[in-house]
Amino acid sequence: MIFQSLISLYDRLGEEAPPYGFSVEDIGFAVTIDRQGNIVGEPEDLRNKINANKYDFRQSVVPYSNKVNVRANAAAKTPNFMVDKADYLFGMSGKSKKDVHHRSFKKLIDEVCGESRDEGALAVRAFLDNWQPRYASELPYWKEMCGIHGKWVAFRLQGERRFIHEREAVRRLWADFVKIEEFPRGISFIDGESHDLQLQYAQFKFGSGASLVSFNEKAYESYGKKKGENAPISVEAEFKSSSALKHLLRSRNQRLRIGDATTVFWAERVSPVETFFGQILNPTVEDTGAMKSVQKFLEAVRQGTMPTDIERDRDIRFYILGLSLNKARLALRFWHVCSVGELMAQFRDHFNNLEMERSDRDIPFPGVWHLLKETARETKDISPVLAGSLTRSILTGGRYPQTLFQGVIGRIRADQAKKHPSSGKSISNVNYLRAAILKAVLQRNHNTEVPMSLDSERRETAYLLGRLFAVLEKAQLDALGKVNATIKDRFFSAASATPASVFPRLLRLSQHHIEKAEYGYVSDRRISEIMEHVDTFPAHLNLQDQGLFAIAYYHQKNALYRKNETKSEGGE
Amino acid sequence: MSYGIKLRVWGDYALFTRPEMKVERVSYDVMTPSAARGILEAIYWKPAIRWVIDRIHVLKPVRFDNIRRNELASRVSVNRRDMDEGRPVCRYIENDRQQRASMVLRNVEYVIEAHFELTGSEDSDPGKHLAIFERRVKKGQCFHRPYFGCREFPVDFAWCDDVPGPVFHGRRDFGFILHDLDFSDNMSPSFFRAVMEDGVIDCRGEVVS
Repeated sequence: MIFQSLISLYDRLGEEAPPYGFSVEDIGFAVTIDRQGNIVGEPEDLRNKINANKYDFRQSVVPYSNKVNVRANAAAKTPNFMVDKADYLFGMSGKSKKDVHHRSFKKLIDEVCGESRDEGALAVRAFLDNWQPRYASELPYWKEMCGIHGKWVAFRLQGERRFIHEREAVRRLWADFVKIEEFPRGISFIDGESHDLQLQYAQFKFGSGASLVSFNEKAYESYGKKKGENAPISVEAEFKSSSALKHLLRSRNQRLRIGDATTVFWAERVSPVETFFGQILNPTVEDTGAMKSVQKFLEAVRQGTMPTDIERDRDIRFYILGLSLNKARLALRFWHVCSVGELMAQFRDHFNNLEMERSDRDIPFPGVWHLLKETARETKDISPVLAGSLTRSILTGGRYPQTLFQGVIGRIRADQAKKHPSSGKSISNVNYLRAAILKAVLQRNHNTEVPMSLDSERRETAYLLGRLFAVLEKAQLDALGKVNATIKDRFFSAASATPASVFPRLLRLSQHHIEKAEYGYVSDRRISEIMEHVDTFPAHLNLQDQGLFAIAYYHQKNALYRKNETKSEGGE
Repeated sequence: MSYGIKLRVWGDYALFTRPEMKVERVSYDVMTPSAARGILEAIYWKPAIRWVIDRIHVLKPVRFDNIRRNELASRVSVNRRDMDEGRPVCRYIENDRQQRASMVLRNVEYVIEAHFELTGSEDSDPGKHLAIFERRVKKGQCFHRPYFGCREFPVDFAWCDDVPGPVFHGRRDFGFILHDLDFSDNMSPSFFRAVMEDGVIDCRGEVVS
């Protein structure tokens, strides 16, 4: 499954992905040396500061092996070839000596380069022979180089643009060197055939580095098998799959974050869907151009048509992989494979469920994140599990998580008297997104058809009561103008949960409002129109009906507000 | 000589762990033959017989869910040194806890088609074994509660005469999945290509190890 798909992605990438023994890594600094191995000028800072704690690094294809990514215990003796951290290059880290690091780095270079007469290799060897670690602290940028944002330091030959490790001859030296490495043979679980086996899986940049496959505690090993023996994989398959995953994790438009899960996705072959997918699930508001085109695309999808270039890709497979970090290991949150056509059908269904009348300011196709934000007071309170299960339900067309519904109902109750912190204006507790989520869950999970705007023919008690509540609130506002605590602020949650205890009192109160207001008879008529169909006030409404209540309230309020607008009285 | 049985099994959760993702566990899409064998052995097994899984019928759609559980990071070590030095053979969860995520299957139901083979001449009345198995299944007896891959996910089972109609149509390839372990050869795993045709996985095909 995952591994096979990643391997085929690697094969598809071709030149874009590094060959065996190489990896794309971040380079923080470059040191220029001349042919005699002397440092020329200052080290060059290749970092690009984005914000206080974040840098963009120069990326380069570097010689690499899996041993380097887990060098925790034997760090000093597992150097990388030609390019590494400052400790290895200069034998110093800040003010502390790193002799062993430096020696092992030098030894590896001697070993790999052998008799090579390449200018670059010779220059580096000459540099290492001459270098004294005590000079290190006099280097410009020394502190930054050793800092946590220092990353790796590369050599550059005087007068050349590329790094020494990028020289053709140096690359060949390394490629030949990794070829002679010996591996145990055995059956790979991927294809069931005998191969050289890789016992050390690659790590990925998640925090300090995390593995997708690792057996780092005793309890994780089975039948007395050690480490990689637990899941034998061939050297080639391991390299290809991890390179492909690294490529995805580095990419800008094939990766997105949903909750605590980093999600990557790809298609069987190059397709515009790859770029659209991220924008659909997680629209970036800053990039209006991209957002516009995605909205146009989704509008077409909603109508059941597709642009020709995507229609053509209808049958190709699409892969979605969600990973989250769990104690230096990557845990799979979801893995979904479908055809592009199926995916589009799921999106259509999802957005049809969500469709709700809205103002022009509201986002027509909310992303997963927009929906999740409506379930918690602050973004940090959003349940990561909910994020994963919501995404899964969108992609598979399965039922929406019930906690999504409960979360929104909870927020509606909690926000009933919410005021804008500066202006003191009351903020609507049932907004477009909340109404849309409630509607989507009711439609998909409970098979309840819910309209997207006011349906005055609907006779369900919960729906009628929601409307009635909006009308009563309006009657109060018409009569009293600006009030500190409206009936919504005080009674919304009680009215939606236990109507029988609230509505009689509100109706009595409304008579006073009707009397007082200039056009009170309008409210009176509205109330009676609704009350005509209400037989009794139920003692309780269940959660599902409370959702319907909130939607009806939203609908009725919009309807009232629209009328206001035509009379140009302004609203809310 | 072999004697076939059919057993319907179902449960709320299942976790047939993939070997490559067994730390942060991820389940195979379907039950493996070795898990099916484990279920049968939990109900009835004797050294005189050996269960062989023929076919697995998948009766519910494949659905996944995520859960996290608190587990222990290490095993209780019972080697020579511990005994000689008189160390207590125990672990305290407070010092050794690991939270592990799992991607599990939800609401599974299968019919296992299997037969047993006699391992020797002793106790070799197949009719007897078959009758015992059937009687035990119908009474709901088992040596220990059978489970779907993890002890936390118990199996409900029932005798099955007719396999219900398939929910799957067409062909679906699940790739190489674990067939079983060879306990006589250093516990080496063997794999087979799991292909589902109209809801049925035939486990009798070629096995590589």
